[in-house]
Amino acid sequence: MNATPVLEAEHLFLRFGGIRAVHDVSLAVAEGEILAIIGQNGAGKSTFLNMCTGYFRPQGGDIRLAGRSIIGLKPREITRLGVARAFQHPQLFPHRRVDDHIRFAHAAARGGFWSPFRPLESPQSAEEAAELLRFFDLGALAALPARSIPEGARKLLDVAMALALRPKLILLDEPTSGVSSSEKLDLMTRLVTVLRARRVSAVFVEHDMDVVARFADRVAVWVDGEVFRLSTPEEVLADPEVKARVL
Amino acid sequence: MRANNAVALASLLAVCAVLPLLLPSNTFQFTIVLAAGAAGVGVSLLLEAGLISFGHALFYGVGSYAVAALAPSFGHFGILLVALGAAAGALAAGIVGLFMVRYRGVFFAMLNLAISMVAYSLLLKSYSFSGGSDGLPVPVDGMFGYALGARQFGLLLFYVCLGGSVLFGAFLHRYRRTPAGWGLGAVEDCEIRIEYLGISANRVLLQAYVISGLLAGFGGAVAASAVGHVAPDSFFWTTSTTFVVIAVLGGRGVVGPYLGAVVYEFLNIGAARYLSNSWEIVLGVVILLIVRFARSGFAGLPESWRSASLRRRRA
Amino acid sequence: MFAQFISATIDGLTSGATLFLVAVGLSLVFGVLKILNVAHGSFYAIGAFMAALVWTLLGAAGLPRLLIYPALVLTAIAVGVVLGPFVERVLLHWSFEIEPLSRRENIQLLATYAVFLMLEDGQKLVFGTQPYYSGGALGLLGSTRIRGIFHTNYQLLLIPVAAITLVLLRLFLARTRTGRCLVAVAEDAETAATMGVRVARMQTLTFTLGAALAALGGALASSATGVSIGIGADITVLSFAVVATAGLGQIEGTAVAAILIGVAHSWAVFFLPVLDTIAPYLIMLLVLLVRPIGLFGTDRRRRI
Repeated sequence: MNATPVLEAEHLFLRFGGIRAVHDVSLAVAEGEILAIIGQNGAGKSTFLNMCTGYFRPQGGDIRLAGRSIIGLKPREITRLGVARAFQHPQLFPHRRVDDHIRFAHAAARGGFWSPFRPLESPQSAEEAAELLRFFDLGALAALPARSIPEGARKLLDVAMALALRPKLILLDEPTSGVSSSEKLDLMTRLVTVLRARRVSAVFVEHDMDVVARFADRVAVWVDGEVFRLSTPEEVLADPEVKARVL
Repeated sequence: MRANNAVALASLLAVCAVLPLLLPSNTFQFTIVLAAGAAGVGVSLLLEAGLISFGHALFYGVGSYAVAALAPSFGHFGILLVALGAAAGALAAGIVGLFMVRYRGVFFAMLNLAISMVAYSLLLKSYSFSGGSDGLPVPVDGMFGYALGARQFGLLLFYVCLGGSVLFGAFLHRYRRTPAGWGLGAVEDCEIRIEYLGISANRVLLQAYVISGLLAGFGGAVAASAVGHVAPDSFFWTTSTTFVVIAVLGGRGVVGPYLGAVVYEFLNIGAARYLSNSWEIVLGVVILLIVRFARSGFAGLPESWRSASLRRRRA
Repeated sequence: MFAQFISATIDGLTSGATLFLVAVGLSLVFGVLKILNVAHGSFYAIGAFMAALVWTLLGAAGLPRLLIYPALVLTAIAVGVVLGPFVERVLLHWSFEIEPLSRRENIQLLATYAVFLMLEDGQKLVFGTQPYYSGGALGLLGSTRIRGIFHTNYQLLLIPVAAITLVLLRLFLARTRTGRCLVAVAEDAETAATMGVRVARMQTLTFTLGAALAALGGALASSATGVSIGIGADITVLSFAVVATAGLGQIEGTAVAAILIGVAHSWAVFFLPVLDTIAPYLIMLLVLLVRPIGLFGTDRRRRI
């Protein structure tokens, strides 16, 4: 078992004007671990995710990916190092087919993307697309343009694209928001199954405590830009102070 | 459906191939229309990514002047000259593109325009280098190594242009199914996603920009060989906007812009004959109507008619 | 030599003055309507033609020649008021509904190009293709000698005219209710609408203002530079270069860029004639290479 954490944040600082979005945050995500981040709106959770992808540059501290500092790298470069991002509002290509999305992501991760002669369709990409579509039960929608599929499916497609990159770490911003409560459990079960099967670490921001309790290995509680508590779901959700500040 | 398309395409190609034999005195016109169509395809390619270039005359002009510069040495090898002209267009696009692909929308459109006009100004002023406003002669009279009569050369040039267009068409058809070609259309829709998949959207655009420069350079090279003369006017913004109009009139895809070039030529002739004072008003109205009602140009009309009739049948 | 340098600089400032008027109109229209009007230069050209026409009419009617000055301003306003709402409401309004923004931008680019074509021919039909004499207003106010070289007082006055326009614009946008509504629409049209701002009306107003400013620039400049077919296209590209150098939607920044480009062009004419027509574009390219959003442009990032 590899001892280097896949993601390590150390004494991170970021202010926007007068607002402290991230204040002296340190945490580490182990390989294969699923970490949930909870906290009230505006506490800095999404900002932290955006710092991990290179969208924001911290004013102090360091972020390391498998031991390598990623400060100052562009989102594109950080993605190539093995970090994938799924968004709160799915970022899809409305007129393109669902399965082509996954093929495209797959092509982005493997070599030969830029060859003007190699087609998007290949046996490997077809296999990857079929597998991920099956995992997320999107098979029936494979040929449809992304704008015609239901909201829950759109979120799943966004995540599927991120997974097709074969990342070491995936960052998810409220993966179950906008999804009906009956579908939430299904979505998260499928997602976590794939994560475990491929040994992908995950950090996800979440508001639904039920989801957090069921699926997270550890929970980081965010209050006013700081990590207030970092522990197992049972301990965190039972903690009266956490309940007072967040829930 | 695909079989239908293939048949339609083949018949169109057959008609084109036979045209100069049926109407030999119009061969020159046909060649010029094809050359403009090729440049239009280049502009159309960028349109797919949501980018309008108001300056592609730059690459058309580069292709033309490359032929003019090399013709004195290789006047019997028209085929080589056309190929080199296309390559020159691609090279120029590679250089300009490095800067240009950082921009989108309005900036992209106008910066292309500005650069092409800078080239125009420089050529106009440098008499010793480029012949200034007089331009340069293009002494090409053979295609494969030996001199031909004017009529024969004109005919052969038409077929070289047609052949080249078919080749480019086949290449583009394949290109659209490569990851970078597929991604081109996606840049306009969701550039963020592309970046977060680890792909540089700018690089996707650069690849397309170079291909579009190749096409425009090809068109310019053919036109220069057909006319026998080049002038700085090739770089003027009116040439660029003609290509944009052709691309918009004709619509996307490989065939569209050629249709657009034909339509444009008809409008040109008709306007010269009947409406010489209001040609631009007519063109403006036509563009406005197309942009308003037929977003995908003439080539897209069959598709919209098809879907409209499908809707009627279902209802 | 130094006298020539001063003279060139003054020439640059005066041409920069009218350039500012045209460019700030373009910038305003872009700021509020998010549209780059390719036909903006046509308003300039029409303003120039109308100015020449008015001069001829004044002469024919036997009216005092000095009336040309208020007439220039009134003509520009008239051009703006007559053409602005027509072009915006009738020819372009349908395009504001289109999503996404990038597609709308491109469609509007094509649509305004179509408008440009129509106005270009319209000019030929209305004003004919014969040259017009427009230099009347230039000589009426005498001239001043600076460092041994004469400059017409008319041209020297263009500088304070542009400066006053800048101040008036800034006051209008910051202090009047309508002006603040315009700024609100430029910031965020949706939010402005929910706060009760009549967005459509603001759009038409801005477009009209932009057209009037362009026409004013044309009317004022034509006395020195003449009127001919094709000046509309030239000035569109030039004013875009100014706006791009300044950064879109920046009022004071546009003034700085206009001065920069006007003076650069002027110096080139005197000292490096081979670069004179392209000097503005070289400045623009240099600025954009270093700072892609323009000297004073603001970076609007999406929150994801």
